[in-house]
Amino acid sequence: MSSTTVSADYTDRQDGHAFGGALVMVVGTIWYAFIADLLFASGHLDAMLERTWLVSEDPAAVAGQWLAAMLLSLTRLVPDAGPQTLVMLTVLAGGFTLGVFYWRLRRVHWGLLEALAATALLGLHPATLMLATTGQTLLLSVLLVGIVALALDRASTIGDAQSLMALGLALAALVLTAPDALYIALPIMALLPFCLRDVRDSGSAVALFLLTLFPALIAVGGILLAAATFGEAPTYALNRWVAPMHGFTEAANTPWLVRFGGEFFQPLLALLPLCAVAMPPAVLPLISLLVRPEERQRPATALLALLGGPIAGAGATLFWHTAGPLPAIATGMAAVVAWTSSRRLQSAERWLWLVWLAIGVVLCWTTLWVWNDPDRLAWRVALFH
Amino acid sequence: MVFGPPPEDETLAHLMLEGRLDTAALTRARAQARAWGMTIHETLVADGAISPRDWAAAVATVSGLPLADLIATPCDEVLLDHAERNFYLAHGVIPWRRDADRGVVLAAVRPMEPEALEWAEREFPGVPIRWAVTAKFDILWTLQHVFDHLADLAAREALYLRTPELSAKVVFTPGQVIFAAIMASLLLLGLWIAPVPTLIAGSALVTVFYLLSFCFRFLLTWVGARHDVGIAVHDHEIEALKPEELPTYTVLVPMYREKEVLPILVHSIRRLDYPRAKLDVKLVLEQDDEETIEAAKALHAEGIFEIIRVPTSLPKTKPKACNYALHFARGELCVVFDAEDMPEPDQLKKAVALFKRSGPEVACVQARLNYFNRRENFLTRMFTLEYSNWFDYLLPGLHILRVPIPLGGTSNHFRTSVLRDLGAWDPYNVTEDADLGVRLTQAGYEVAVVNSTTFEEANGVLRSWINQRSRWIKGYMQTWLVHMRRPVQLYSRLGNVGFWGFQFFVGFPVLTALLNPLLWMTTAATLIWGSAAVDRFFPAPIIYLAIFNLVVGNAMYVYLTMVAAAKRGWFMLMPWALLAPAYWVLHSVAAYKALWQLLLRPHYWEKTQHGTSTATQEALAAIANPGSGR
Repeated sequence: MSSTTVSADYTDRQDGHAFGGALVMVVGTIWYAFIADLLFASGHLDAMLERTWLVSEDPAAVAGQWLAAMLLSLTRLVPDAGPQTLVMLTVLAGGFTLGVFYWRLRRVHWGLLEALAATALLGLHPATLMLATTGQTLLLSVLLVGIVALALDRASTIGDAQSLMALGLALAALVLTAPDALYIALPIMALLPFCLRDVRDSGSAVALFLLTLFPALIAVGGILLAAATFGEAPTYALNRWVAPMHGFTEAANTPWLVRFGGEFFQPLLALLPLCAVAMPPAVLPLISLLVRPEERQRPATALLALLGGPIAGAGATLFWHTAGPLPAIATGMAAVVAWTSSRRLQSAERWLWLVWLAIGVVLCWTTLWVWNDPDRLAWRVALFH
Repeated sequence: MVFGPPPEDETLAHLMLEGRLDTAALTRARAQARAWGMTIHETLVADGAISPRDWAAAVATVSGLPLADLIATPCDEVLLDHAERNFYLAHGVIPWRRDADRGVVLAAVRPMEPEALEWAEREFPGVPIRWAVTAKFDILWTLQHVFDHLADLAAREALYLRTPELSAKVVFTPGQVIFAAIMASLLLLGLWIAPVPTLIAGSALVTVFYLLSFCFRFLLTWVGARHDVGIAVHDHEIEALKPEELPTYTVLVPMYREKEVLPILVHSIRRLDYPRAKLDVKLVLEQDDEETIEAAKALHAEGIFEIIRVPTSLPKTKPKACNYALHFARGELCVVFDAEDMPEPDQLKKAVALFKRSGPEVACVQARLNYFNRRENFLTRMFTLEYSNWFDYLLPGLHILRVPIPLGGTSNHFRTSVLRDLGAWDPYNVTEDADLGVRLTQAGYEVAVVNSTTFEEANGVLRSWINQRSRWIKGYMQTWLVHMRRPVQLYSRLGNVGFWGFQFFVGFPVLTALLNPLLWMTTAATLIWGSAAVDRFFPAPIIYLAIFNLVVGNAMYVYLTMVAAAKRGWFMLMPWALLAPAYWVLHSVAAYKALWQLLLRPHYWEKTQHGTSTATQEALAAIANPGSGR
C-alpha cells in the first residue's frame, strides 16, 4: 500500500472520529438537557442559580474567579439571558466534553463500542451529571484541570515549546478561574520536575519553571495592577484567596468541614478511597506506573490522576477552602479522564476500565456517603421526585 | 596544430614535472572529480592545489596554444556581445582578438570544448576560429572591465525601469502624499472641532490595533512553537543526495570595509559540506574599498573565491552590490552570506534537498539566523532572544499560515533564474531582503524555512545597534510603502491572510515602535497625576482593553521573548527576557531615527560594523592558530 493511500485512510478515519465525536456531543447535550429539565421542574435549582447569577455584581466575591466572572458578565450581556441560561451553558459544556472524550478515545484506538460505553458511563456518573446540570462554575475549573493534565502529559512526552506554553496558559487560566485551583496548582508544581524533559541542571530547572509559571504570574500581576489602576488595595483583589472559605463562611458548618476542617492527613485518607470509589479507573494509572517503564519515565500525568484530587481536596480542607469532597472528586475524575484519553491501553485494560467505571457509577448512585450532603441529597431527590 | 581539447593527463604530467603539483593532491583531486562528476582541473583549482593561471599556462605549454593574458592584452571590445555575457561566464570562453586574416581567436579555459565550438561556429559563421588558453579570472576581469557601466546601470535601475511601482527609488507616490495629507487634515479638523471624541476614537483605534498585534504575534509564536515545525529537512534526505547531481552553488558575500573578518568567511566556506568545485564564491567588494580588496587577495584563497569589484555609484547599498555580482553568478542556486557569517556546514545541502523536494513554486529557502556572541552583553543577549523568536518561531509560523515571509538579511537561498527574472534585489530598499520576500509571494512564489542555522555576530555596541536597527525599520517602512501603493492588487495577490499578515508583520511593528513612547507617557501621566488625567480619553470599554494591553499584552510579549530561548535550550537567556521593555525603548529610539532618515536620506545605508565582538576575535585567533586548542 502506498504512503498516499495510508495517509488518505488515516485522514478518513480521523474525519470519521470527528464526526462520531460531534454526534456524541449532540446526544450528550440532549441527555444533560433532559436531566436539567427534570431538575427545573422540581424548582431545585432556582435559588442556587440566582446566587451564581448575581455573583458577578459583587467584586469581592468575583476576586479569585475572574475567568468565570468574565464569562458570567458576557452571558449577562446576551438579551433575555437569566439564571437559567447558566444551566444551558453547563449542559452545552458537558455535552461538548463528552464528545471530545469520545473523539480522543477513538484516537487512541478504543473500539467504537468501547468508546461509546466509556462515554455513556461518564455521562451517567452522578458527579458529571451534577456538574453539567446545576449551572455552577465548578464545571469550568474541572474542565481546566483536565486541560492542565493533558498539557502536563504533552509537556512530559513531547516537551516542545508549545507544550510548555500550553501548560503555562492552562495553569494561568485555572488560577484565574477558581480560588481552590491553588491546591491543584501546587501539586502540579511539585510534579513539574518529573515532566519537563529538558531539565538538566538547576539553571534549566529554574528557566523551565519560569516558562511554565510565568503566565500565571502575569495573570495574578495583571489582576493586582488592574485593581491598583482602579484605586483598590491589593488585598481587595486577593480577598477571596485570603479569606477563610473564600468568603463563603456559611459553608463552615458543612458536614465535611465539621469533621475535617483544619486537617490535612485525615481528609487525605478519607479522599483517597472516596476518589477511588467514585472513579475506580484511577487505579489503572497506578498499575501502569508499576508495570510500564515508559509510564515511569513520564509519571506526571499518572501521579496527577492518582493523587491530584485527594491532595488538592486535603489542601483545601486544611485551609477551610472547600465545603465538601465533590470538587476533589471531580478534579481527580478530570485527571483520570485526561490520562485515559492520552494513553494507548491494551484491550484488557480498556475492558477493565469500563467494568471499574460501571462499578464506580453504581457505587456512587447507591452508597450513602455520596449523598450525605444536604445539597447533593436535594439534587438527587429533585431528580427522582 | 591541435584538433581537439588539450589532453588533461599530459597537462597534469607537465605540472608534476614542473613541481607545481604533488601526488597527494592529484590523488585527492582524482577521487573528488570521480565522486563529484567534475574534471580534475576543476577539483584541483577548487582545492587550491593549483591556481587557475598555472593551469592555463600548463595547458598552453602542452597543447601549443598561445596563453591569453587578458589583463596584459585585453580583448578586442568590438568582438564582445553583452547578450552573450552569461555564455562567456558559464563556459569559460571569450572572443579575444581578430587575426590579420579576419579569423577570430577565442580565449578559453577549456579550449575546443564541443559546446564552445558549436557556439563559435554560430557566432562567427564562415570565419576561421582559433584558440588560446586563459584563466577564469581573466574572463571575469574582462567582463567586469568591458561591461562595467552596463552592469552597474542594471544593478541600480533594472527593477525601477521594469516595474517602477515595485521600486523604493521613489519614497512616496503622489497618491500616498495626497492620502496622508487628507488623513492629517481630518485629524486636525477633528481635534479642533471635537477634541475629546477625536482623542477617544484615536485611543480606541490604537488600543484595538495593539490588541490585534499582540494576538497575531502570539498566534505566530504558538504555531511556530510546535516541535515538528522546524524540521524541514531530515538527515536521510541529505544522505540521499548524490554529489555528482548537486548543482553549482553561487555564494555571494557582499562586504564593505570588513577586512578583519575575511578569515572567518573563508574558514566558514571551507567548512561547508558541499563539493568545493561546485561552489562559486563571489567576494563582492566596493571598488573604492582598496584595503578589503588587498586583504582578500592576500589570503591566496582557493580558486573558487572570486573578487567582484562593484563600481562606485549611488545608491551605495548591499542590494546594489548583490545585483551587480549576480551578473557574474554561475550557480543554478545562489545564497547571500554576510562576511562574518558561520553557516552550519550542511546548510547548502539542506537547501538543495528542500528545493528538490519542493515544487518550482518554492523560489527561496530562508535559513535561520542566530548569534555566536550571545553572552557578551545586554544587547547581544536581547538580540539573540529576538532572533530566536524571529527565526525559530515567527518565520515558521508565517510559512505555515502562508503569510509572506520578509527574508532575513543573510542566508537566503534562491533559484538563480527566478531571482534574475524577478529583477533581483531593490537597490533603493535598505531591507531589500524583506522586500524581496514580499515580491516573491506577490509573484506567486513561496519562501520555505530550512532547519539550518547561520551564526552571526550580534551587534553589541549601542550606537552601532541603533544605526543598524534604524536601517531595518526604515527598510520596513519602505517595504510597506512600496507594496501598499496598490493595496487592492496586493490584497488580490496575497489573499486575505497574506494581506493582513503583511500588515501585522511588516507595517504594524514599525508603527508600534513609533507609538510606544506616546503610550508610555500616557501611563506615566496616569501614575503621576492619577487616572483622572486620562479618564476622559479612555472611557469604560476602552480602558479595560487598554489595561489588558498594558499588563497582559506587555507581559505576554516578555513571555514570548522568554519562550524564544526554549527551542535551542538556551535557558540561561530566559531571565534576560524580563528586561525586554528596556530593549523596546531602544527600538523606539531607532524607529524615530528611521522615520527621520526616511524623510531626509531614504536610501542611505547605515553600515554595521562587524568584528567588534570578543567572540569574533577569539574565532579569528582560533582560525589563525588552529593548533592552539581553542
